[in-house]
Formats: sequence, C-alpha cells, structure tokens
Amino acid sequence: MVSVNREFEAGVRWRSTRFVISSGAVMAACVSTDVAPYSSPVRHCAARVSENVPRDAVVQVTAQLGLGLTYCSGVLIAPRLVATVANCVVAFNDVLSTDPPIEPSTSVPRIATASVDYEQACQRELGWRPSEDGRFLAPLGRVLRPEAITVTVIREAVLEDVEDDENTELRVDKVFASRSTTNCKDDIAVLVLESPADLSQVPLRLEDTSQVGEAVSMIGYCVAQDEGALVPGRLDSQIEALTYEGGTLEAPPRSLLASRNLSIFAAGGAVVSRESGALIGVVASGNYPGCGEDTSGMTIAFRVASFRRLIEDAALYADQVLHTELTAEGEDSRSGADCKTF
Amino acid sequence: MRGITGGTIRSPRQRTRLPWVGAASTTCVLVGCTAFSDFGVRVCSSDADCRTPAQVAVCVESRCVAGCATNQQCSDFDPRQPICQYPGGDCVGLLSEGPECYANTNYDEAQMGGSTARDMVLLGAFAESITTSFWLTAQLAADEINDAGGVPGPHGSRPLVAVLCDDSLQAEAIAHLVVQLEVSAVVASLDDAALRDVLAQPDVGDRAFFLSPAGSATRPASFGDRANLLWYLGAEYSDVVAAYGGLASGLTSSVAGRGDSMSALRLASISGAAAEDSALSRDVARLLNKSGVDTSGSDSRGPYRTFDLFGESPLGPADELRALIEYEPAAVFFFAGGNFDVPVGAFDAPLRQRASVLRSIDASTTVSPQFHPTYVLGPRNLSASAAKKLAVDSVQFRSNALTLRAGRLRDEAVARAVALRFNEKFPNVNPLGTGLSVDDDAYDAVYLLAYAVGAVPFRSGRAMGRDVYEGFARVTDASAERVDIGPGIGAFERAAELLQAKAPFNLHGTSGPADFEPTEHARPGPTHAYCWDAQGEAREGAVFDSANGIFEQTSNACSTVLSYGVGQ
Repeated sequence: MVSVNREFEAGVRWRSTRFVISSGAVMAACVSTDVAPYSSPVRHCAARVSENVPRDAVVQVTAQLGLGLTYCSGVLIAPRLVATVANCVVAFNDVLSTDPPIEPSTSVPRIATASVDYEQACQRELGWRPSEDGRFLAPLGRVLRPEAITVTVIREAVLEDVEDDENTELRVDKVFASRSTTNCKDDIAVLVLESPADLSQVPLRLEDTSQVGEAVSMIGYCVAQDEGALVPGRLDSQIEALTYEGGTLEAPPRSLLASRNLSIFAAGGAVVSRESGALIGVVASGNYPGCGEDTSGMTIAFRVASFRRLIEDAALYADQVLHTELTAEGEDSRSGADCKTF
Repeated sequence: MRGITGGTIRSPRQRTRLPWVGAASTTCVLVGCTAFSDFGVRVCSSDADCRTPAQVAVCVESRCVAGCATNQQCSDFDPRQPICQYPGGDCVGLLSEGPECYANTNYDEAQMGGSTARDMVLLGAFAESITTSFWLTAQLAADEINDAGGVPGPHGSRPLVAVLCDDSLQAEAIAHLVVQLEVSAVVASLDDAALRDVLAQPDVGDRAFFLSPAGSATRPASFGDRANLLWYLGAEYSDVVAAYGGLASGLTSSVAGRGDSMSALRLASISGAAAEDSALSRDVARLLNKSGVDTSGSDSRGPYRTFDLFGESPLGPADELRALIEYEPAAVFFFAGGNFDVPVGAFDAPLRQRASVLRSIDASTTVSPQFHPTYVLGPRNLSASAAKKLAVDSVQFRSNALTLRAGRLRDEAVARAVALRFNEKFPNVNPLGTGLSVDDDAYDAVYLLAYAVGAVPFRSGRAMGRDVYEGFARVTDASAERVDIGPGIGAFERAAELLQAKAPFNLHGTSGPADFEPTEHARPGPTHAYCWDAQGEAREGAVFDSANGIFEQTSNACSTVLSYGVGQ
C-alpha cells in the first residue's frame, strides 16, 4: 500500500502501478480509484522577496504580428519562465492583415499595441465582435510561433542611456498559453526561454488567497515622458474585486480588478502583493502610453493561482523550480538547499 | 498531451486509467472491496470532499473516484480543459493544446458549467481564420439556435457549441474533435481529398458524420462502409465541365467578332494543388481537346496553356505571371480552392499568395490595356471572400468575371432573410472593405447538422457517426413536411416540435429543400453562371443548357460579361 501511494506522489503512474496490479492485484484493484494526496511534480520553494525584486524581474515581450510589432510586458517567474498575457502572443485577426499584403520594402513597421478593449470586445456577454470600423480587435487567433516572440531585458540604465546594446534579447523556445482567448477569458501565457535570464525572479501566489482590499503593486512598461524610451513603471494599488468562474460584466472569470490604470505597454505585467512581493496576477491590458499619465480607472489581471496547472506544465517542460509565496507564518517545509532566497 | 497507442489516440488519463479501472472492477467483483476500504481510499460525502489540486475526482458511493462530474469542475481544475466528456470521464480542452482548434462559438461557462459534453451538441468546423464569412455565418446559426433554447430533441434541448479548427491541420484537429471532445458531427469545409483522408483515419472510424458545405470531386458511394458518413451540400464539381465547352465556343465567336489584335482564341488555365482543382482542370482540357483545341501547350502562342502561379514552377510565380500577360489570353480559367479569404498573420504566406494570384493578374490589366481577359472561376469560388473583395475593388475584374457552379439555385427569399439577420448581427462587417458577408452554405450546414444530432433518438451514451446519419436522413426526408431554416414559428419552432415527436421533415435552406441525391451524396443541378455586383454579392446570371451547349441568360447579373458574346 505504501508503495502505491508513493508512486502516485511521485507523479509516476501507469508503468509502476501496472507492476503493482500484477503482483498484488487484489489489493491494488481496491485502491485503484483512490485520489492520492497532492504533490506537485514541480518542486516549489518558498521565497520572500525584497522591495525591488518585482520591478527588476519585469521584461519586455515583443511579438511580430504581420508587419508590425506588439510591445508588452512580462515577469520572470523562474530563470527560463516568463509569465505574460496570452493576448500578447496570439495572432490578432485584425489591423495588420491586408489583402494584398503590403510589401515589406514599402511599408513602415507599425506598432500595434497589445491593448485589448475589454469593454468593447471582451465582455463575456458580447464574446467578440468587429470594432466600429469593421476591424477585429479581440485577442483572437492562434498562439504565435516562438520565433515570432522576443523577450527583451531592458535595464533601468535605459532611463539614462537608450542605446540598444544595453538591452539583452532572449529567444523563446515554447509558448504555454491558455486556450480560451477567443472569449477574452483566461488570458495568460508562460514563455519558456531558450536560455536562462540573469534576472531576479518573482515568487508565485499559487494558493488563491487574494482578498478584496489587499494592497498590491502593478509593474509594467510605459513610455518615459522625457526620453521616450520604454521603461518599467510601478503603480501602487489595491484589489477592488475578484471574479471566479462566472466573471462579471466588468471582469472576466478568474481575474482581479485593481484600482488605477496602467500603460498599454504594461499588458502582461505583474500584479504583486505589497506584503510578500509574490506575483498574484498578470495584467490584461492598459489604456495610455506614457508613464504617469492619468491612472484613473481599473486594471484587469488574471490570477496566477487559477492557472497553476499551466504554469506547472511550463515549469516541468523547462525543468524549472517554481518559487512560491512565503506566507506570514514564515516557515515552509519546502524550502531547501536548492531553493533560492531573494 | 496525446499519446498514441497502437494506432488509436487516447488522452494520457485514458491510457492510464482504462486498463487500471478494468482490472480493478474485475477484481472488486471477485473479492469485494470493502475488506480493503482502509487502504488509502478517500472517503467522501460529496464531490466537494474530493477536491484536490492533483486530479479531478467525484464522490461515488462514498469514495473519491477519478473522473469529472461537470464542466465547471474541470475548468476549476485547469481552465485549459473546461469540458467534462461525461460523468466519470476526462477533462478535455474545448480548444486544442496546439494551434489546430482555435475558436468556439461562445461556450458559456456560467450557463454550461453544470453540464458535460454529452449535455451539449458539439459541432466541429474548419476554416483558416475567424475572419471568414464561413465562421461569421456559423456563429449566426449557432447563436440563433441557442437563443431559441438550444438544439431540440426528443429528450429536451441542448446548447450548441461549434469548435473551429484549422483547415490545414486536419489530422490533428480531427483527433481533438472526435477523440477528445467526442464530436459526432462536423461541418467539413475542407478540400475533398483532405476530407477523404480524414474519414480514412483509423481514429475517426465511424465516430463522426461529415457534411461538406461545398461540392464533391467523386462519389462517396465508392467509399465503402463509411460512405454514409460523408455528404455534400453542393453538386459534383465535374458537373460543370460541359459548361466550359459552351464558354469556349462562345469565346471563339467573341474573339472572331471583336476583330481585335488577337488572331486566335487563347485560353489560360491556372490550377491550385488540391485534387479537385487539378482534376477539374484536367477534365476541362480533355473536353476542349475533344473539341479540337490543342491543349498540349507545345505552342507558346497556342490556343490553350496552363500557368503555375502557385509557386511550384521552377520559373517562379513572377515569371509565370509575365508569361501569362504576354500570352494575352481571351479567358483565364481559374481552378483553385474556395478558401482564400482575407489572410491573417505573418506566417500565412501561401494563403496570401492564393489570394493575390487573381489580384496580380487583374492589376496587370491596368498596365496592359489590350489585356482584358474573361475570368472564369471554378465552382469553389462562389463564396470566396477574396473574390468578392476583388470584385468590389476592381471594376475591370467585376466586368469580366464569372464563376460556374452546378447545383441548386438559391432560394432568394430565404437567403435574403438570412442575409438581413447576418447584417443585424454583424453591423460593422463591411463587405466592401473585407469581402466578408453571409455564407449561405455554412448557414445551411450548421442547421442541418444541429438538427441531425437533435434527431438522434437516444440521449445517454455517445452518439456515433451512423447515429447522426440516421438523424440527418430524418431531417432531410424529401417526402416529409417542409420546415424552413432559421428562427421563427414556421421554422425553428416547427422543427423543435417534429424533433421532439421523432417525426421526419425536410429542412428548406437557402438553396431550397435538403433532399440529397442518394448515390452522389450531393445535390446535383444545372450549371449556373454567377457574376459579382459592385457590393461583392454573387448573383446568378445565366444557366447552361447542356442539350444545346449554350448559356441562357436568366438575369442581368452577368450581362456585362455576356455582352462580349461569351457562351451565347
């Protein structure tokens, strides 16, 4: 009996349990439908972060869409894993489609913001629909190939020096994305990088313990008004509402609404707990380009705890250790020699 | 996430659980499990007691048993897999993990979360993009049915959800639809050869019924025991071949009468790679050859030449296009798939090229004033958005283009009503800008399949393709009462009454009654010539009189093209 449960716990199922059937069929048969205690196949380590870590962990996610580019944000959750919003890495069926196509030599690449107008296109009862001018703005379509996506690390130094060589570009190996983007729901993705990024990483809140009123910070890129460069910006906020399977008119299922509004380039950015520094949600969209513009309004973010399986699948694929939020109690048995402390 | 075992595809959970459960249940019967109930069995009083982040489980006879109870339970566990196949089944994705199946018609978690897949009617569908007339129209049909209460049947109504898959990834898409989602009916808007390949897949077996909104290249009756699982709304493509002969003779007269620079009739043929396109191209060449036209292509200024503008020629499409212009054909016969709607994304270069071939030829006419060919598009182009858009954009093309298609004529009253509802639902879709408009065949196909599934007499258990075929026969019974397609008293509501009463009817769609020819599995009819108006609408302008080998004008829709004397 003990061996059966151990096998389940290790996440190894059929091959070993078949052996148990053949050697002890009677006993095994009667526990075959048992649901074993949970043990994630991914090794989690508890972590506490310093004040600056979340901001250091934010990267720029650029995707080639047609002849243009989308600029979004992402957040490093493991050396090779970047959490972002799925609408930044799926093909729009819209603005850049032309018939006949524009010749690359004669066209100026355009910046298509990855901003999604949730009120127009993504409210649940509307599903999606063409925008007023007949184009399609919902984040519809298929996940882009990894080679169309680039993760760029833009250092704080960019604020003083916008030379491109200050930036580090990282190639994407695989995209794990939620599959319900057609309804503007479950808009989350994890990018697996080909090589590790030498950056801070943000621990995850994988237990859904977020509460209305909780103090959070939102971090994502915006255009610095003096230099015109994309820089990581931060806004302090609080959770105004949480949605579950049904969603609301204001927010899709499994999301949170945070006070204040971010830049359009902050889509895919982080919503972190101000107390623990852990990543709570991934920003769905923003409204304005510049840093520090009018921040009135709300930000929708998808809660990472609802997408634990997706994140774990990506971590398994890339053989990455995930760091989970260190709770107020402090002690966590999963901390160990391999666990990194930020 | 799929595993392949001996040619069949199961989800990993199925692979692990089926032999396991089989052995377990056998042993339990022999021994009795209560004696071992303390061996790690998780005791429960409700499904909630079985909630765990490790796997989906339900409470059965006070024990937690692996398997899902509802869609909601699945989406709570992993939003990527929000569909519970059936109570005790696996959680599966509505969309596929890869890019194969990428959209659906408004699956509503709030309304359908308490159900499983077997409480819903799931239809598969294929298109290259959501921004296609096909998918917009499929959504219109699905929403109409759901707004009226769902797909009716003898055991109540069920919500309809259509899942859209990529038409270039059929094998993987079918595995997702048929194996994982257990879809039993598919609107198969695929190339004919691809459709047959799909049906020949071992994993498909007789699990699903396929209705193509297009026509057929060969008779499915030759397809053995799966023949009844494949039907076509259109006619056989080869039915139009004779009309090309009529066009050629008309063009000969036209060229002689014009007295222009062309001393002889020259016809250009362009064919896509799909089997039905090349077959039709061959058949037309053969017919012309029998009429004395040299189709060998040996003479570069001869009466018939084929041009490869789809990139397989060693010359490349640009040189082929130049050769075509220099050839100065009186007519361009264009045989290529109907699915060349507005292309999407950066990686669809072949699609872009398909859409651009006709546009490139047409653009050439502006720099070569002597070059005014008549464009004769094949039967797969009638609903193509790219052709519609080109017709809107170019007076030159519009004035010289027609498309031939055999089959039933549109029922204008029904089609007009559908078009009105389409415009109401998508007020911002501008056919002039996008080429997108209602796709009559897609509309008919969704209703036909929804009703066919509704007519399956049983509710529990998985409906197989043959079950849907029986339902399909019931709703396309030529001898039964006419029921109109769409919402309303004489339409959906009457269909619901008859479906609930298990009574047959004959669904009357945008192209008339749905009575199918039982051998061809299609709906044959005379060959019609359609021309596009300034709004991009294809309108019937002539019908081919096969007895006399001429076209008879039925409206002014093609009067400009036919004024050159084509076919008359």
